[in-house]
Amino acid sequence: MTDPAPTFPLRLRVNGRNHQVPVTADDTLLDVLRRELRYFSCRETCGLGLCGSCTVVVDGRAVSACLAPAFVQDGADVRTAEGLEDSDGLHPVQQAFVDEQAFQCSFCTPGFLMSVVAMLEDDGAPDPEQALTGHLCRCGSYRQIQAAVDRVVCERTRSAGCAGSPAHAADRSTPETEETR
Amino acid sequence: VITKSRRGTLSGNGSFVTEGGLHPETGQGIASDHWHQGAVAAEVDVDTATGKVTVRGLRAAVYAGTVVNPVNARMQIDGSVSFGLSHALFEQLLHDEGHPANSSLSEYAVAGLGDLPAVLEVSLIEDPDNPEVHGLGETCLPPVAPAIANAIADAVGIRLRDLPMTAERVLDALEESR
Repeated sequence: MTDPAPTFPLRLRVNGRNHQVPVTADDTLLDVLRRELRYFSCRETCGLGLCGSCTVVVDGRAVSACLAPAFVQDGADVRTAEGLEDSDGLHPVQQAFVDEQAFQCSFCTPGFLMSVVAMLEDDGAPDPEQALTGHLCRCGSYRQIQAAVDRVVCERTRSAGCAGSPAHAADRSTPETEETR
Repeated sequence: VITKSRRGTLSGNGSFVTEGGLHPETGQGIASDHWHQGAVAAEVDVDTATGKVTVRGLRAAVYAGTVVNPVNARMQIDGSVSFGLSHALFEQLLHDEGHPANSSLSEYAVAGLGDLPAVLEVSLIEDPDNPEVHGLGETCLPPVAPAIANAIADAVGIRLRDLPMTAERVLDALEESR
């Protein structure tokens, strides 16, 4: 029989609260968040960094927690979907998802939220396509998610024409023009 | 690039009468209590050099009975169309002596946001004379793959009989048809 894996203390700041937790060398950040700290909004689906459902924001960057070794996160500032809401209510990204009903089963939603939050807080111009590419939604609520993200990007950049989000209009597609090349 | 021009309206009429019910003594028979009616039209680009199929548009219509929750009903059909697209073009479970051989997302492709067509329209057709409430789950999933296959046949003249309609299969069929 092998001895239990040795643990060492990891200092982590999660949603503004400091923690010190014992981790082993093969723990991932996801293990620490779920098992030790009980942040259940980050969810493991593929364990390969392909589905996006475990995405959290680490030091301002969206990270797949299932791939991030815990031991290199010492001193990191981690944010999960639990930390988005404050006393004023939902985070604008959460509110946009609610307004557009951008979920059905909502298993993937926290991952989407955290990627969008990281995208908005990044200095560069928001690139929703890049931010959302690594996320899968098996319910297929992609159009509503896209609408929610477009809405929040639009509000953030204050460009014209934010209001008329068409996601739940009776017919939300634009008439297509056909051309012959 | 050859783009086929489309003008006017595509419409179709048909009727389908189902018979079912359970035998009163044996309990055998067709147990469904009602049937789902959904139809999908697809518009595709086929790259004849690589075999890649890009779906430009999917239009789905479903006979929805009386819709109780329009937002969720629409999302359910939206979801079934994207699921159907994924199943038509990407998803293939391989077996090795009865065991799944590609049981992780690194080997099993699922449609993501970038794979959805630019045009995705859903119509929920209600019958004002019929207050019946239908189940709407995944109603438009089955017709997506045949719609895409028909669109491919119309575009490049090949009949694909296997799912998913991957670039390899399209190329092979193109090769055979030459």
